[in-house]
Amino acid sequence: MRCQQALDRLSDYIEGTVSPPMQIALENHFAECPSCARELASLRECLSLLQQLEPVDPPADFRAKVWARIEAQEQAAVPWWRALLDRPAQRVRVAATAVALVVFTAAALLLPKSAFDKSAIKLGYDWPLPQGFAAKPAADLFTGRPDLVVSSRSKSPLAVGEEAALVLEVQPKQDLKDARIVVVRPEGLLSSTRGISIPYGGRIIWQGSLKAGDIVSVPLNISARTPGVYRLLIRLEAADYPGYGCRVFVPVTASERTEAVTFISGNLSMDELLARTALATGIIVASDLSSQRPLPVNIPVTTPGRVVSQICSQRGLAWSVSDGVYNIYEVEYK
Amino acid sequence: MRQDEKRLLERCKRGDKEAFNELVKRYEKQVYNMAYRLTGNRDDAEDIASETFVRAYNAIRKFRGDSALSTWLFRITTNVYLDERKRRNAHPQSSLESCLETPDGPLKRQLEDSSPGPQEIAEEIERSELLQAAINALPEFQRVMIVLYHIQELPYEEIAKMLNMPVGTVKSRLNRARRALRDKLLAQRELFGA
Repeated sequence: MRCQQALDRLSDYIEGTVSPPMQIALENHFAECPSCARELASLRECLSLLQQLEPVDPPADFRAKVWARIEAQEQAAVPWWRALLDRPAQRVRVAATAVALVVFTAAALLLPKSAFDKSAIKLGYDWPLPQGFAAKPAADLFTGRPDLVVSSRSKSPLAVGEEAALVLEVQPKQDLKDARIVVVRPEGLLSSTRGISIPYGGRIIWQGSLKAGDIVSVPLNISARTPGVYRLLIRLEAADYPGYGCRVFVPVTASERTEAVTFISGNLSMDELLARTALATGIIVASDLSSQRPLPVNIPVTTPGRVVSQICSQRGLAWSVSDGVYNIYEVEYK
Repeated sequence: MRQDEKRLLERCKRGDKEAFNELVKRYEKQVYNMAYRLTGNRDDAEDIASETFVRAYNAIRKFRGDSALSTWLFRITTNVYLDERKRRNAHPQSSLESCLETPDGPLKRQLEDSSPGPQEIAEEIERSELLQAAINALPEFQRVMIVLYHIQELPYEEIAKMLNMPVGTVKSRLNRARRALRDKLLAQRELFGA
């Protein structure tokens, strides 16, 4: 049998749909031809990886968006006088999960003048910076300790296989019953999700009850097998509690980063901005998510994190939160 | 088509919006997942998946029910995807209907022109899983074949009906697509040092 004939039948052979005499002929060929045997092995591996791909779920407001588009095109089709006269067609109630609205008060939105007093600015982190890189604080917008704070003991960009020691600190402002810390399934923003190993990936890593003001420290070690930036979602959940979430971006490099890097800016979402900041600086960056519940369409809601991210994206700044302090800084590369 | 599907389809054809909502609920995960595997990112996946359901809403009255609802929706998804690529690339595009078989394979020259080079592949790696990046590196039509067979798990006969070609052709094209995928995956591993 010639190699080309064997290669043409690789797929069928793997699926077991070749006739028995053909199967024997192919097996003989693979036994004698290491190059085709290698092709077979690598193809098998590739197909098995394909099979392991897990389904990706649509966003929670997907259906609402579909209906918004359908209704928009129907509105466009109806002349305005008709729309006024007609009763609306049978309206479909699109199920929306109950959500705790976090309404941001006007007082907090106004930036007090003292926030820009440079002497009052605190650098909320003390990681050593790679050579040729400088970050300076732009402003402190808020203080106020979140219920869940993630900090890291790892001082340099993680190498592949190295462990980052994260510490999750919980200090609730209210009594919490049935509290639990959940590490939500990690999503890779700039790289593979399957490369990261977390001891309790996607599960509850701590459970208990807390009184307001109690402090609990939970360690979490993570490591990654492939380079990139990994995003973890860490949530604090409890009965009668809206939930508190935190995103952590962990950069993992394949090798020592010695040359200066260009900061990529442009039309990036805040997630991308944070992820690229983490990757470029080698610093583990944590950002705050005060509510992760799916939101019904068209209801305006804002959180401290969103206000900060809005301001930062307008001014080309990067931000992180640490020890209850939102840090905003300009990133410069030489 | 199963009885419950038939009933749902009948209600949708009569303009029953509750029924169509039920349809979206049933198939949104599969359609979105397919769109995601084809495009490699969530934003595009959301656009393509929602456009699929809008087109389905507009076209459902004409759907004769001669295939499963899911197959029909996947077919729309594929068309939306290829239309979108056509719009973006302004390259000659092989749509499902107009794919020509040549002795060397489908419109090989044009498809390979629009395939990303090593630099784009490297950037792709930063944005998605290694395997997804390999899928993204395939020419569009091969990507569609891989997604229809391996992600949506449609049998050869359904794919053949959908693409309007004999089962044997589907098999040989898929064979080629799989080997191309494997090649892309190996190439990226070298680039990526993984």
